[in-house]
Amino acid sequence: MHRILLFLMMPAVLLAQAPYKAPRTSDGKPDLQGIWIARNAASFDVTEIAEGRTIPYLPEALEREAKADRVDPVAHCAMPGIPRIVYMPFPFEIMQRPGLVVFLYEYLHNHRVIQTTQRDHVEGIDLFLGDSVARYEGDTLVVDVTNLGSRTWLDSARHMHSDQLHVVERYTRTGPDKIQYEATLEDPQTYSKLWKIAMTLHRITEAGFELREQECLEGDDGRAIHPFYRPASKS
Amino acid sequence: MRPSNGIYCVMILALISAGTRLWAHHSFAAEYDGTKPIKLNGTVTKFDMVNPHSWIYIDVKDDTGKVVNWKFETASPSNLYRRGFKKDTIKSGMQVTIEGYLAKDGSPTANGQRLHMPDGTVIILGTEVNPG
Amino acid sequence: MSAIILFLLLMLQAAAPRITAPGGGNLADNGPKIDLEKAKAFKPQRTEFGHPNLEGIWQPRTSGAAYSVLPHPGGFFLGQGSETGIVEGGVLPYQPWAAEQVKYRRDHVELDPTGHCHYEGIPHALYFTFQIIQTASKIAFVHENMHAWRFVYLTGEHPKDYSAWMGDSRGHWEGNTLVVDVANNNDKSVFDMAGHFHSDQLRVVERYTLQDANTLIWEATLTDPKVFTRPVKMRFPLVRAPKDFMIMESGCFEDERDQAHLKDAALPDNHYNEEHEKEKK
Repeated sequence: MHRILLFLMMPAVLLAQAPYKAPRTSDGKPDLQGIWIARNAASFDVTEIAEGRTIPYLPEALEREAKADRVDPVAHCAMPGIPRIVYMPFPFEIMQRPGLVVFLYEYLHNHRVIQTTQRDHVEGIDLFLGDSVARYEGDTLVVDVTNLGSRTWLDSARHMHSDQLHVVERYTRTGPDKIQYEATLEDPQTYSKLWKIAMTLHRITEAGFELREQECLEGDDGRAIHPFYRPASKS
Repeated sequence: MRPSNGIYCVMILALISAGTRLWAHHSFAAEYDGTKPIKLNGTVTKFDMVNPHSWIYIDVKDDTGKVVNWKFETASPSNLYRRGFKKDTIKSGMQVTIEGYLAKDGSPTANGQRLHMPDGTVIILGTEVNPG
Repeated sequence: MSAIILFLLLMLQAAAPRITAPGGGNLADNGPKIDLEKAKAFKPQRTEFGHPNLEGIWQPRTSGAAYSVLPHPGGFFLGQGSETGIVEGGVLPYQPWAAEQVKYRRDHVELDPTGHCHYEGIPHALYFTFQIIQTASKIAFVHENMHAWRFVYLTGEHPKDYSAWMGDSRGHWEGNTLVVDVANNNDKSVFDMAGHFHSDQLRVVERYTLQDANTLIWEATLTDPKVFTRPVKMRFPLVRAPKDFMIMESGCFEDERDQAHLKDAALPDNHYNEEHEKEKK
């Protein structure tokens, strides 16, 4: 009797475990478009979303960090870097076109316009948001990021990195309103091995929601001003 | 510095083909003096490839032997990059000559226009090359 | 003394604005000639959702609008100059109090917001290379300068109680022309480095039309009842960037080290011409 029940339940169990199949863009790619936001505390401390809740530091890197400047670069209106901008508590929009994926971040009006056709990374220039080259692997958008320089922090807890940081991001739709975001980080000058972060990006479904301008200005006293104009009402 | 083969190679090809509009993001005309061109030879002490404008610092020895550290403002990192000027193109200790325009406030500051490398290559540093 | 008068007369002569024929012509001196008839007849390629395809990276040909939107001489950090500027008629119709403000701003260059790494606004952000990316419901403009971006929404309305450096843009198609209404502008962005400013009443209606596959025409009508006496029309062409051109990262936050040298700085006297239309009686 139990065996018959199990047999009858199998299709339901299998269906429940079948991976979500995202709709396709006009050129057949998994559709990641929309406005997304992280809802976690990673922007305070990235270990919140790290595998094992720890970062595998090299001892010398920890020493360097202890002696480093204590002022968060974003306090001077600097761009937050990758992956920090993805989990800053601000929405961002993904647009996809043939050959391009575009990230438009509300935070500090940052953007990444990324080719999804193969090209070599640039060399000899540090970029706050790095140099990104993307490709699709099945249902996943993979973004390879290098040239990140060394001036950004991974969070406001002062987790730093060297200019050898290499981040590989993976974006996969796991439901109508969810993207699973994973990233691997390696940096032979800072970490003893490659480590991973993982989190959910949530679609903002509120009708009529739009990104607004978020600016950061250095005030006369050198401190940043973040005027933020999101109106309380939806008018 | 005498170029090794007598030929100056001006590295602006990428720039011309791109037709990039370059400009000062605020008025350099108020900060620097167009009637006071200078040309200084010195030793590179620092190169900050930063936004909005990069800065090259060189130690310049005057006739009395006194050393003054001069700073030269250049185009933005992305525009330098398009001209083939990378973050390690110049290094501390390199002997270079830089042409530019003197700052009006009397400090050892200038707006960099042309950089003469030890091998004779000339790199355009200025923010203004191709008006758009 | 007479030499000084002669010199001043020569300067005034050079400063006389050139009036361009209304409705046509390239207001900026460099770049392709604008031909509005040709643009009307041109049939652009369409996106897969049926809109004229304006996508790509565009390089403006304003002949130095960042220095001044009006005619200005070439020279030290003025580029090659412009006989026409990008403003139809070659004058900005400032009210008298506003014309005084322009002069004040030229005498106090440290007030120039671009020198403080402030955001550029429309049309200022359009004087430099940008990329257009289109979908059926919105169009993104992505700029290298100031790592800026804005959406032109093809749906919805201007928000209330909202003011932004880049304003709020709502667009629609009229034939093959993208018409964009930019409202919600703050009073902090400026038109150029020549002291030309606006108030938070600025409204810009832009028109983007392809003249051919590689030439885009930008036209706009600007109104600002607080500072201008009448609407202002602007126009310049843009050319498609070479295939391998990439928008790169550019910011203005790391080390603005020029401010220390700009205290009490003024633009040189002959740097820009005095060109404001006298108040019509």
